[in-house]
Order: sequence, then C-alpha cells, then structure tokens
Amino acid sequence: MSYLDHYKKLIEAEFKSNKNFNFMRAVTPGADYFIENGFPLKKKGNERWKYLDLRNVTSSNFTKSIYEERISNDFDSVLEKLAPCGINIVEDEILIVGDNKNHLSGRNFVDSEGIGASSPSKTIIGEIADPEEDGFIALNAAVADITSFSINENFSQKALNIVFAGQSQSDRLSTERMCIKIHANTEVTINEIHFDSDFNTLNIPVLEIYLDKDSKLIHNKVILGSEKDMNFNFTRVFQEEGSYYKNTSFCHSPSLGSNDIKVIMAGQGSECDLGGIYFTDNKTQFNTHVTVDHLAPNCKSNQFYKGVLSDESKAVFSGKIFVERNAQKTYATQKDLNLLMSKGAEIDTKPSLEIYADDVECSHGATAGHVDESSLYYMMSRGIEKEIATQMLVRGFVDEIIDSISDDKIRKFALNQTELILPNLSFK
Amino acid sequence: MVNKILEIKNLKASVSETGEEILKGLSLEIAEGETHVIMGPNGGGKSTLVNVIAGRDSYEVDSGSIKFKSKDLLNMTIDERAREGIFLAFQYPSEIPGVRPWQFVKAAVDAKRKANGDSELSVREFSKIYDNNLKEINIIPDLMKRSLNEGFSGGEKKRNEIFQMMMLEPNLALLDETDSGLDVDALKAVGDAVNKMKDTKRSFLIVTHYQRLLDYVKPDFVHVLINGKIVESGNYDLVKKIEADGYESFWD
Repeated sequence: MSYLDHYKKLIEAEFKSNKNFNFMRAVTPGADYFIENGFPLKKKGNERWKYLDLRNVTSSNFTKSIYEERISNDFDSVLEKLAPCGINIVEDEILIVGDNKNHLSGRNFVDSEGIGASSPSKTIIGEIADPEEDGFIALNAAVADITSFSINENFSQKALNIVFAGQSQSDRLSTERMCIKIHANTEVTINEIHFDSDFNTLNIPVLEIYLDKDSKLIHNKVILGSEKDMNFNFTRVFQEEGSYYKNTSFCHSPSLGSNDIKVIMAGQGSECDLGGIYFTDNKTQFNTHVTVDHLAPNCKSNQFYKGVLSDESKAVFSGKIFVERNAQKTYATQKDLNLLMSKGAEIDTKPSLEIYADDVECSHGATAGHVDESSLYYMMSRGIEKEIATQMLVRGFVDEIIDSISDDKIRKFALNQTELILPNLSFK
Repeated sequence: MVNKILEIKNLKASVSETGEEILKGLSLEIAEGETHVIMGPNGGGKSTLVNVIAGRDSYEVDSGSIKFKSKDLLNMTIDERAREGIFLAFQYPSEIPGVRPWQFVKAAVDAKRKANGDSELSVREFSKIYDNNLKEINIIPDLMKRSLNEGFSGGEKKRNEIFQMMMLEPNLALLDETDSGLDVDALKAVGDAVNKMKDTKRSFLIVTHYQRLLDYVKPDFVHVLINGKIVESGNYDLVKKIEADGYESFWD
C-alpha cells in the first residue's frame, strides 16, 4: 500500500467519524490537496524542501493516536519538564496539547468560537494557513485536531503557555491546529513549547493567528527535538492595521523538521520582528523558512536568525520578503548568520526578495563561517581551555537572540537549554 | 645566581600556511626579574617571536627549543602556556561579540588558579580585585559592560590588555607593540602599570618601534631583531642609537 493510500483511508475515517457542515467546508480543500499531491517529496521545482531529504516522512504509515492512548500519557512528566521553565500549572494559564488533556484555565479571557464559526474573525481553519500552500499544511487541515479561541483585553496573565507534550508511542501522527484571534487593542504573550518524544513520530502543528487592529502579540516558540521525532512546525499570521507581531524561536533540531513562519502584513502601519536560533547536530536536518508578505503601505518587518550547526547536520534557511505594488514606504530587513562547528555540517542559506513597489527600503545578508581562529587564540592565550573558549564564543553568538526573548521564563529556559546543548556541540 | 625564566635556542619558525621562514635561528635568554626590549624593522620577526612563545598555531616551529621555567614550552598548548605564567598583550586584540569582559577575565583567572591548585575566587573577592585594577589602569567600568573589545578605541583595547595582565599576574609578560596608537596619558598609564608590576620574579619582553614607552619602563637589555635573527644586544644606549641612526648600520 502506498503511503498515499494509507492517508486516504485515514482522512476518510476522520470524515466519517464526526463533523458538521462547517467543519467539512473547512477541511475539504486540505484533504483534496493532500490526496492529489501528498508530501512535498519531489525535488524539481520544490524551492522550499529541495535541500532536505524528506523520505523518512513516508518511512511509516503514521496513524493518529486514539483518545485512550493519549490520555494514558504521563501528565506528571510533562509538568516535570516544564519545571525548568518556571512554568507552574497552578499559577499560569496553560494549555497542554498532545495528551488530550486540553486544559485551559481562567476562561474569562477566552471567547470560544468553536469550529468553523462563521465570523469575520479569520479564525476559520484554513483562512490564514492556505492548505494548498504545502502538503504538510494540507494533511494537517485534513485530519486536524482543532482548538479555536480568541483573546480579548481582559487577558491579564503574563503569558498564555501552550505546551505540546510529545507522544508516547511510535508511528503516531499529531496534527494539532490552533486558530487564535487577538482582539483589537489587546496585548498578549504566547509561549509555544514543543517537547521531544523519543519515538518515531510525525508532528505537524499549525498555528493560525489573526491580529486585529492595534493588537500586539509576543510569540515565543521553543522546539526541542530528539533524534527520533519529526516536527514540521507552521505559523501563519495575518496582521491588521497598526498591529505588532514578534516571534522568537529557539529550536534544537528534531531528526527532521522545520520552523516555517509566514506573516501577511495586510494592514497599514503594522510591524513584525521575526528572529530565532537553531541548533542542529548529529544527522538532523532542519529547515527555517520565513516569509513576510508586505501587502499594505508603511509596514516594517525584520528577520534575524542565527544557526549553530555541528556533526553532520544540515540546516536550510530560506527567507523571503515580498512587497506588493501598493506597499509603499515598506521597510524590511533580513539577516541569517551561521556558525559551522564541524566540517561535516552543511548550511544552505537563501535570501529572496520580490519587490513590486518603488519606494521601499530592503536589506538582506547571510553569512556562514567556522569559529573564529583568532578569537579562539586570544581566549586560549589567557589560559582558557579550547573547549571552554569555544563554548563561550558560541554562547556569545547566540546570546544576542536569546536576550531578545522578552518572557523571563522562556529566556531563562532557553539559556538553560543552551548550557545543556553546548558541551555536546564543541568537538564532535 | 639568577634563574633563567625563558631560554630560546636556535629557534627557526615559519608561517604554517605558506612555509615562509620568519625566524632563522634566534637565541635569547631572559632571567627572572629582567626587562628585555626587542626592536627592529617591520617584517623582521618581532611579532612572530612573541606569538610563537605564546603558541599561536599559524606558525610552525621547524627547529630549536624554547624552555620556560626549565620546562619544554613547545610541548604545551596555548592555554597551558598561559596557565604556566606566560601572558601576551596583543598588538591587535580580538573583538569578541557576546562575551562579557568580566565573565572572560573571571574564567581566565579561575583557570589559572585551578591549574595551580588554588580554589576559585568568590565573586566578591574577584570583583574587588577587578574593580581596583580597572581603576588603576583608568578604564571606565561602563566600557566593560560591552562585549569584549567591541567598540573599544585603539587605546582602550591596549589598556584592557594591560588590565588583563594585572589580573593574571604572569611570570613572563610579552608586550607586542602595546605602545603604538597610544596617546600620552594612556602611554603613561601603561608605563606606570608595568613599573608597578615589576618584581624580582616577573620578567617582561617588550616589542616596540619607539623609545617613548622606554622613557617610562627602563629595560635591562635591548635586542635588535633583523631578518629573523638577533643581530645585536646591548643596554639602553642601543635604543638611543636606533632612534638617532635607524637600523641601517645593523644590516650585514
């Protein structure tokens, strides 16, 4: 049985099992697209994925975990993992996903809109994340587990934490979909945390985020992969007038995966700051794919990413700035800097600009290099061992990104994780 | 009898990448407590010499030997040499983004103490010495809140080198053109700091083009290094001769 036949059955079973008319309307395009196109395995004309070897995606017939399996997950161990983040389930707003204990406390700030609610809120599945953009998004849409909510100005907590706990069995598929609306004049921090699982699993989480006028969202994303799991992570954002979106990602590569962010700047005077650090090691492959669509005038966007690559890992950065004809006075920057820790590591960094307006200011730059020999010499000449000096240099390199994480807990967590990652990166 | 701290015998060294020979049979002895000066025209091998002593691996030692405190220096890594008591004040100190001077110097001091079997200094003890030395060499503390050497002026970088020397208290300090690019005040500060650190156990090897630092720091010996060899050694009078006549008379 080809993998496509397998997923066809899976999709049909999902369709049979429930779901109202609105749901069908929302998920059908994804199902159709996926059944016809499958995963984006073809190299030809496949700019997004051509540098990665995606074959492992079809290595198993991944099935969705059933309710009983997921609830048997060890809830306590998830909390234990959260402890170093300083996230306390009693005090914080927290949403645990992936063990089916959807736990959303303090509901006073949440307007639950339900699936497929026909409001102009753009929180209908697929309205922001186009299922026909990519096979992974399409599969997510076709068999999604959907959580849809909006946040209004009554939100008073420091942050909303969304934790993806990872799965406890091999060959499982996770297709969480979150549709989140931030109401006008509302300011929120969302921390999205993905823990690794030591099983061969395929995780395709998709977040669709709608930012209403003059709203502000600080979105911190943590992906902690393992050598076994795969994580293809998508964030799709739609910005109205005067809104601000900040996404800072801290990624330790899963065996295979991506951090894929697209921001549509549809309203005048909106701004976004996208940044992150990616560590890749062993034989992992990780794709950072960032797109900003400037559709309205007077918008500002920044992309600033850094990669630390070791062993025989491979990373891809592709950043795109698209400026439509009437998006005058656009200011857009893009930077991707990479540190190669070993001869076997590989980076493909590929900026692309597509500009149709004439009054814009855009810049981009990318670098890839090894640890600076003269810096290392300087530090060692003070008596600091090579390994320690190397770690200090890498710390110095990534600190700039980590320092920009405004949520204290996530910043400290990222620093702790960096301390754990560094000793293993230096000399393999 | 005074103990030798550094003994270089017939040292030949070349650039690793190109194989170009720079040092062509250089010998030099420095005893404890002595201050030596090396002068010479550009390209003669002055910087190469101090970098080979410090262990920079872009140079290859082809033959000869270097002993430091009677130990074979050439078998030691760069960091081992430093912990053993060698310090190089760089001609062009590296700018290191994201690394804070305080953290850097603490790591260096701790590494040396650990190698000597001493316990790490507490943050409080360390900070006290750190702050005192900053004041001594007249570095604005705010400057040290930046990344190491980033956005430092030429003079500030050189002061920072001397500051690190004060923190690490080496047995042999190599000063590679520390005086170039310094204004009068900075030159005096560097000179004062070196003089204050002079004692019977500590030696200096100063590479310079000019007499002006030597107005503050009086050397015991002066050597002229031309084309990879020391062609003449003498006392302070040699400096005056060079200032007056240049290096022409030293060529074969």
